[in-house]
Amino acid sequence: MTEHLDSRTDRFTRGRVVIVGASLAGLRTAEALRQEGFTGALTLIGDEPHLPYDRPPLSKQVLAGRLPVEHTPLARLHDLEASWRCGVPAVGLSLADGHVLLADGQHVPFDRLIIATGARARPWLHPAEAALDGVLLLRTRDDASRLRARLAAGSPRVLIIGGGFIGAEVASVCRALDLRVTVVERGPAPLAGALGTVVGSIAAAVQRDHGVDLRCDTTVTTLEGDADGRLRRVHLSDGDTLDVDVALVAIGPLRNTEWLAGSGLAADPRGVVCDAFCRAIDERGEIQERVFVAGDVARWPHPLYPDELLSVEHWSNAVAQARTVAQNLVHGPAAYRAHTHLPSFWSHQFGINIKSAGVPALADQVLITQGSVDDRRFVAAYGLGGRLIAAVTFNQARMLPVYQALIEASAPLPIDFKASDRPSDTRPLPAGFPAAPQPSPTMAAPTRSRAEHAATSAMAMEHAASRTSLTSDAG
Amino acid sequence: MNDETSAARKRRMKVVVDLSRCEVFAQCVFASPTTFVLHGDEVLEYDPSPDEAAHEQVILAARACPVQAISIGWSEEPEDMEARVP
Ligand SMILES: Cc1cc2nc3c(=O)[nH]c(=O)nc-3n(C[C@H](O)[C@H](O)[C@H](O)COP(=O)(O)OP(=O)(O)OC[C@H]3O[C@@H](n4cnc5c(N)ncnc54)[C@H](O)[C@@H]3O)c2cc1C
Ligand code: SF4
Repeated sequence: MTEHLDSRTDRFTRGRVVIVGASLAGLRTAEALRQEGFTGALTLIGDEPHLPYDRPPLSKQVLAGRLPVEHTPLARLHDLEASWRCGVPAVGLSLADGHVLLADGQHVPFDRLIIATGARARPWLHPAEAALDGVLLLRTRDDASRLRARLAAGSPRVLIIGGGFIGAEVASVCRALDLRVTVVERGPAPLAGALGTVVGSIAAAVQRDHGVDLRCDTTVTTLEGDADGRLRRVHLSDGDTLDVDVALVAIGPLRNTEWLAGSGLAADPRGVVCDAFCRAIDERGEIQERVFVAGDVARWPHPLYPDELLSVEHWSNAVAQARTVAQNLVHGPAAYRAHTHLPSFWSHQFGINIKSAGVPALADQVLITQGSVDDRRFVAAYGLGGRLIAAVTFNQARMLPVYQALIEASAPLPIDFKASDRPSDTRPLPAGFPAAPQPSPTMAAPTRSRAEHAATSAMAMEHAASRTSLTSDAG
Repeated sequence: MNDETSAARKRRMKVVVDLSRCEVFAQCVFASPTTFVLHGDEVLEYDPSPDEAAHEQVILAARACPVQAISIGWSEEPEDMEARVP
């Protein structure tokens, strides 16, 4: 063991910290470590050839041509004095020896490790079809540049496979650029995996109003290329065949955890299991005190959703979890804080600001509590077992904090509250989540692993001790 | 980020808005209309790398935001970048 930490009270502020994954969560954790008073050696390892940049604009302004991709590097908010290993991936982890193995054969030793390797876009299932020129993914800066070049060149018809948020945002940009676009969604409505079919069907109407050729309950059967390997045509399960030269595959994420294979940590394509304090848990269900997890790659227990491990692809969670990890790493067990940030995200599409708080996908009921669906300006409240667990707003951002507070207070649903713009019909409806939500913010394994048990029971212990009260970062 | 030493090190201003927190009050749009723009009623877009000419306005915008959603930082120094490219 390469532990050189002494036993003084400030021992947590020293030593060697290695962060794997140099994007939003990795960078913000590094900054927060320094802010919290970490004075030891800091190393960031990232496989991308770019400075950390911001992903949300990639499917919005960058694609629309309103923001050059060179403007997306993330603001630095604190001095780091870190050493960077960029452009080379981590390929292995030895907990026993305390080092990360890089693809170039180097070993990077650590006293404490932060895993922030995020997620990537799930590739098209047929490798030969995926390799066709014109079949694209969207996760990185370079992906965005490639897709932007295709859209800017003009395309007779763009195909989008998958009606999740990224698919919907790209469809929105295509229509703004006056391109013909077909969205193929295998579920009953776009966004239904995250928001359910009630709100999903509103999203479907929005897409159709904007001229999107939306096909639900439909799948792509074949992507067909020409003799030069360029995408030419797509065959759909509804029997239709369309000529397309660009296809965006937007069928959800895979967490970047391959490099942890054999490390003993409980890691799979759904993420790395950690406890409420963001400490990694191994396959035997033991907590790894020296390893923390932050951002899209984390699966963590949340006191408001006690039966689940949450894993989200939300910008605000990466930022909030970075702070939790830094706080816990620098101040040690006596000052541990649970990661109780309420999940929240936004999406911009078809001129609408969609915002969400809580985890709608866990709900069994939904009701429109304020505003007007026809005006595309409303609040949808989501309930589970008669209590409010999530809320989604369409162009009603100012209302969300009220609901955030109610969710954190586990308020009953229907909500007893006097809004001037209450719609006349306020009966709850079944939320309508497809049996297997996809892409899904939460995925409970059918049978629980030891690590999953350990994560949730550790949370239960913490919760009982109520070391922290629930707070959101809003307001 | 706006002191002389950092200027000498050629740090460029960068801005980041927490759009989960933003409630689209649009004060930033009034304060700094070249950096913050509304696309539709509630879709706030911004340029994370504002032009030097807009820097003062951006600082005012960050102060004006009623929910403190705007953070001002800087880009990494060129020396850093060189050290990083393998
Ligand atoms: C196009 C797009 C639009 C989005 N829009 C929104 C939005 O509107 N609202 C919202 O809330 N969220 C949005 N998100 C999600 C948000 O960007 C993510 O939640 C956020 O990027 C998560 O940060 P992270 O650092 O955890 O993961 P990532 O950003 O995925 O970063 C992980 C980093 O680790 C690197 N890495 C992976 N494996 C290794 C390895 N073995 N060795 C070294 N490095 C490795 C990766 O290359 C990457 O740089 C969007 C995402 C995308 C892709
Ligand atoms: S002032 Fe703040 S809340 Fe208002 S639009 Fe700008 S960032 Fe959003």
